[in-house]
Amino acid sequence: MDNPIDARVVTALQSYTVLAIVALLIGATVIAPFATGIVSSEPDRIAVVDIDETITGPSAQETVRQLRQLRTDSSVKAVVLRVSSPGGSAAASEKMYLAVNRLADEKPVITSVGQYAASGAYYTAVPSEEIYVTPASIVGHVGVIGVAPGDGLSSQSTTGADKAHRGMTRDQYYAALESMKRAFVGAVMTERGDRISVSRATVAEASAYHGGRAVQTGYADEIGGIEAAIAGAAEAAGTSNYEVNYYDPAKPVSLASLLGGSANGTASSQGAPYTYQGVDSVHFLMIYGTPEGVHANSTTTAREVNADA
Amino acid sequence: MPDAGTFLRAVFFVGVLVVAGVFGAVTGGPGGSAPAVDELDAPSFNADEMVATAPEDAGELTMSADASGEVVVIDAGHGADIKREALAPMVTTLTENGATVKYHVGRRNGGRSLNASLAEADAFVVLGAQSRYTEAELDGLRAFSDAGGRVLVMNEPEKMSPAVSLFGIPTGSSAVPSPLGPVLSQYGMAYDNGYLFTQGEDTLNYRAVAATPTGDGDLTEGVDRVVLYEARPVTGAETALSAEGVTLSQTRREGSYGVVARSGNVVAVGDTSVATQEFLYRADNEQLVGNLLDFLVSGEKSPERAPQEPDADSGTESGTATPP
Repeated sequence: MDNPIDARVVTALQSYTVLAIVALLIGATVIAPFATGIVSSEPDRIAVVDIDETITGPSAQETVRQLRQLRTDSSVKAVVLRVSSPGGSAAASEKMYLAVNRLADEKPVITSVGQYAASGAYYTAVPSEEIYVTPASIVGHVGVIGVAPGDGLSSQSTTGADKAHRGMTRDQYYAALESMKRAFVGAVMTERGDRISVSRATVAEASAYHGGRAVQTGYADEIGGIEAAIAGAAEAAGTSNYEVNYYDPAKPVSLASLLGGSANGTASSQGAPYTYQGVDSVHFLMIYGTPEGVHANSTTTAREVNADA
Repeated sequence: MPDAGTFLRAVFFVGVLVVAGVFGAVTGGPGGSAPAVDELDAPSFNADEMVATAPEDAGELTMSADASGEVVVIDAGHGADIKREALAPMVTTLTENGATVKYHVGRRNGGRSLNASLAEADAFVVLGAQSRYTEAELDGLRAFSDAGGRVLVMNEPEKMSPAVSLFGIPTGSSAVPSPLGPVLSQYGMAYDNGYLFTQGEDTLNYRAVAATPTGDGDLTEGVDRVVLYEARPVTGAETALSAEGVTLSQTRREGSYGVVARSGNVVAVGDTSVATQEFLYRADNEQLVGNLLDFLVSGEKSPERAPQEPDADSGTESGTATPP
């Protein structure tokens, strides 16, 4: 005990306060994680989450909340997304992607596609470890659609030149559309670039693929139904003894409500579908097909938009 | 042999350790630890190159040829869907340089026959058309260009009319036929079907394609690169500008496609938006349009009143779409 530091350590270890602090630290950081499995008596669970609605802000909010709950539930070992959606709002689809991306960082996520996982719904599914499709499933359609603002003189009284044109010039609108497309295409290439056999440019063309062709092009991984997806999720989670729980966080809504109409499907104004409460505004959609009022595929063009404006 | 104090301290330590471990397992288990904020974002969302920037407009539309006394007639009698206001820069530049710009509206709209309008013209401009040209009009146009009259034909890709619903059942869509085929075929040129697109991402929109000169002709003097918004290929005759590495929508074949071609006194452009105020000042578009204006007023027409005998029955059929 000639070393003064050793002497101080011995002295410190004779203090109950120091012992308590050291024990608390070790207990909370080392023992607690191991004890979790012992304390918890819940069996392994596979969660199946339905995403079978047009993706809107409210629907995404509900689903994101559900996914967070499942992510933080240690008894849930894997999540299966049962997707049958044409996509929807661009911003809501991006939120869905981020939520699934976050979930997939912590536990296996598998997607089972029903009728389609197109556009924004494919955005949602793309972080999945595996995507299961059936021959009639449609996946892909990576793109954004919208209506460019007009550039004529507004009949309303406004405080600025862009106040009457949805806050942006037509060039800025196209730049925004392009930025969203790049983020979407970039996400697909980041998540599935090692599996997709077509070029980035082809992905950006917004092609949609059916079951077998989707697997060939790498937009999906396996042909199989929901049972195959659940089995795949269990295998990915390394569990063979599990129960399956089903969740349907968001109820289907009509496209009209996404585009500004009322929930019963009736558009609220003559300017629908690209208005809300009678107000002309920019709506960016990541949706399968071309809603009425938008006469272009994936990205609208100046001339066609001009005709509508 | 540890003394009693040491033993008590060891028991105390283990006790606290167990309590802390169990408490942590019960209260902190499901919550997990929060990752750093920058770990939550998607990589593709954070890349600087993800953000697209709107293009800048630059340049002035000028022409070098003397247009004094020249008469330029713009065809408004065959249902061209372009707004006259959109042509303001072109018309203004022509008139500022001494030319007279007239619009041919056709007999249906109270005007004269096309051949009568051509007889007074030095140059004729067609910006798309929705109704067909009669045989007499085609003959008159041919006589006009053979006499040295200059003809500029600009056209957009054909638009698909939106699908209509009959009793709730979609009936599909149909294309509006282009009446310009017979006009250009007289000069060995044609517009291909479909539109050109690229995913090069340098033009902000997939249907905006860049084109470069294929040679050193008058039409491309001072032009390095133009950007055409919604272009269709022009085939035949002498190609002046072509778009490289672009894809034709109908065949999905990637390659080089001519977008501006010339056959003597006739020039065909596979786009009309290049001349409009909105897109005129992108890249070298204004230089190309300036060259086209020079082309229009540089003809030597002889006889001056060609076509000589306007056909009395050659009234146009404005607003009437006809089958191809």
